[in-house]
Amino acid sequence: MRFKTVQKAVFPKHNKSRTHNKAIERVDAPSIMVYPMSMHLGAPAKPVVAVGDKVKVGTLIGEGQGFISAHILSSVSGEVVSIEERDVLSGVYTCVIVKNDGEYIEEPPFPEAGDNVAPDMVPELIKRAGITGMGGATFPTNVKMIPPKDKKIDTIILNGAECEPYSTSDLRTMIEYADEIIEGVRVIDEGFNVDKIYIGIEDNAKEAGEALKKAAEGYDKVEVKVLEAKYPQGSEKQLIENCTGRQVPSGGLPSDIGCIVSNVGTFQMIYRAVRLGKPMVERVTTISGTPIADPKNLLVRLGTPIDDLIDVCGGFQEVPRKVLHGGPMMGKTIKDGAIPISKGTTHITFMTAEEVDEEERIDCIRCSECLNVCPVSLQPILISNAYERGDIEKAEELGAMDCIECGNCSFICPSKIPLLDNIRKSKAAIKQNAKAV
Amino acid sequence: MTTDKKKTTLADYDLVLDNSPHVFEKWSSQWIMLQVIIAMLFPLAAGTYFFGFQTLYLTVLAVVTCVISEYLYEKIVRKRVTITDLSAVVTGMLVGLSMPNGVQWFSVVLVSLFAIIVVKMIPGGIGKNRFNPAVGGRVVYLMAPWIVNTFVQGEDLITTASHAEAITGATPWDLVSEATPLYYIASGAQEVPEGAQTLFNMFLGDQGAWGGSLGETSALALLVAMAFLIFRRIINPKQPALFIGTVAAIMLVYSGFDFEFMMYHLFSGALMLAATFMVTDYASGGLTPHGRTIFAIGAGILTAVFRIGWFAPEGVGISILIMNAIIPFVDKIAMPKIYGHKKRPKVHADYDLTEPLAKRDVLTES
Repeated sequence: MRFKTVQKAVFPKHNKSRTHNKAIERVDAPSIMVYPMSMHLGAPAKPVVAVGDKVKVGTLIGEGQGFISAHILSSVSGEVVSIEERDVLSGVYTCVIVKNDGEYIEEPPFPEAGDNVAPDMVPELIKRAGITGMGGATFPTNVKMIPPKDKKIDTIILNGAECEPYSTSDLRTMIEYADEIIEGVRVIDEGFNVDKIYIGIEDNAKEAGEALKKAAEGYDKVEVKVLEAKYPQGSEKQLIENCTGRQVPSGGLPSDIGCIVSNVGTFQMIYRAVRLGKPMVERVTTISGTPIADPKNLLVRLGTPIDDLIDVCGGFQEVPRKVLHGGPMMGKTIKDGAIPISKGTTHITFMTAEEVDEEERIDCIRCSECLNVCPVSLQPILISNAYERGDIEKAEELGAMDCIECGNCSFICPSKIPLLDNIRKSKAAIKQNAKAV
Repeated sequence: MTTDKKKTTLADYDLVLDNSPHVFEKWSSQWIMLQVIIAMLFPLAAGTYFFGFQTLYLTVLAVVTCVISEYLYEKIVRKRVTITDLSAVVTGMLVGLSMPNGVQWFSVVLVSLFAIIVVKMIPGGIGKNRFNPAVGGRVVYLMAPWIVNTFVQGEDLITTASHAEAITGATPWDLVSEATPLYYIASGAQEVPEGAQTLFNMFLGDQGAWGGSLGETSALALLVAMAFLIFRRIINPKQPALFIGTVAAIMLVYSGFDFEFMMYHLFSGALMLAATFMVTDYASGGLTPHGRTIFAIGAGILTAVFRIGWFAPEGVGISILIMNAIIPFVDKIAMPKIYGHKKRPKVHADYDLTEPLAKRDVLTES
């Protein structure tokens, strides 16, 4: 029972029970793998292979360009059969297509890796392993792990708060790879020597908390923070505030307030890269939703097209109407089954026509629920009104650029006003105006 | 996987592309209005029990008038018809519940018309009205005899006449309503007068032969309605709590901590009705969290002041209208602080938060 108050969160109906207790299952890679040159935030990588080249698991096929970028590595062994432009999730990018020979011959591990790696070497190894944040935003991890010159990092936060209503990939990762995650934390802690390490999880993932506590026994800095299951609990800014009470300044980064935040899966990958010398070539992803007959948590090689995972999960029991890369709150719709699992694919959600039915918009009744649920305390209806009046300046004054696009306002609106759509358009217009000046 | 079975691919299905979020809370503005209507059935039932069939008949009359007038207004000015959102029904019921015992049917029709046309539709319709339509109608109606007597006939009805004269002398404006028990305890009194109903009877709704508005007679029915709305997540419990709490605190101090006197105040007059349906009004009760807090406290202070000072016959209503008038300015300076900012967002002082959608200035479009 929830009263109408300022909650700064919403409570979408959870559908995690179908995959909550299903152990991670490794899935075979198909014969054709797709590697877009942008699986990360920042500049796209540049292909460094040519058609006909032989590749192994871990072979560099796309080199990161510039400071904020990441390498793209092959996740199978085989032959490059094509390099072409394709429309993938975030736009049209060059994609390297590899024909899988089914041998999975691996590149040798990074020679520098091992139990005693110098702290300066850690970001380099992370970069070579092609690691990005695994929670969805896919920010290149090596950039985060380079210590800022003028600031002291005193807190590491592991983001295990999976607030999207279908996702259980982080949950299963925490349960099954707790030791590797904690080892990854030690790697980073050795470099920064922080005061405190928080692991933020939601109260519907208590088993994960237990597993992590057990793995971190004797490691006193680590505290498992069991937070209320609400959306967007796993948003970086909200997690920092709920763990430490600090707020990231507007337009700033978590490092500005001494925090490093990353997804739990990312720390597992850091462990593998730094201690074992292995690149990031696979990830856990949940395939779920009403149309899916047998939803699962899968360990998938990056670059596996979504089409190749449907039959693995029993095919469709109902006709899908919407396919989402991510979950129903922030996910992007997909039409093309050749779009691959990438570094930020926490889960793929399928929805039926009934579930996506939208009601007609009516007038605002000023219930102020959009203000109550906004995690960054914006006034979404006022920004939306300003945009619809064509008053972009006002939208900016009201803080449109601080919107984290979580979707709470559109979710809650009883009049079904497309608040987030209008705020997104305002942001685009503000950016355009800034460029024009 | 068997090889003879055709591979499932997305290309075989008709998929839609659009923007997040893809799920929505299962409710609508109509549903919210329906909950308010259901909540109003409690005081309506209590009013019908204590005042007879007229309560029901007058409330239905007010609802019908409100809905038809909103429909006709929108047809005449060629606007989109909005009666399906049920907000006109809510206004109509609130007007009906606000009417005094023994009111003439044409008064109800006139008040309903005033509420919908003047207070709600002319400022722009649902969500854009600065004042609460039902309260506006109610105050104008209940102030009318006072205005007529004071300014037209030249004598102050309230202060010069005894309450008995007030009741009889108020025709044709049927001022009966204001001879509620409130008449005895307000007007500067500092203790419960002789002959008042017992507190328990007042709580149930039996205000004796003193009359009272049709819907505000039973504190019990109104508290049930309030609880219903709170549990349905329609109203924020903070608002009625702060409003009632403010009046209670001031009355307690004013009477020298006479608990009984305070309780009489809480159970009489429009206080409970206002706490449930008027202070919590969406369109006119403030937008920002701070604005809504200030609205409730401000309305409470004004109500207490009017009751102590007996300034006018409609203390609660006038308090709410005054707060309606100033709350847009409060909202503007009390905007919530955005995450990661040190200061509240600032907009120009002339910015109208209730400005209608998509109003473009053609002069600037060349």
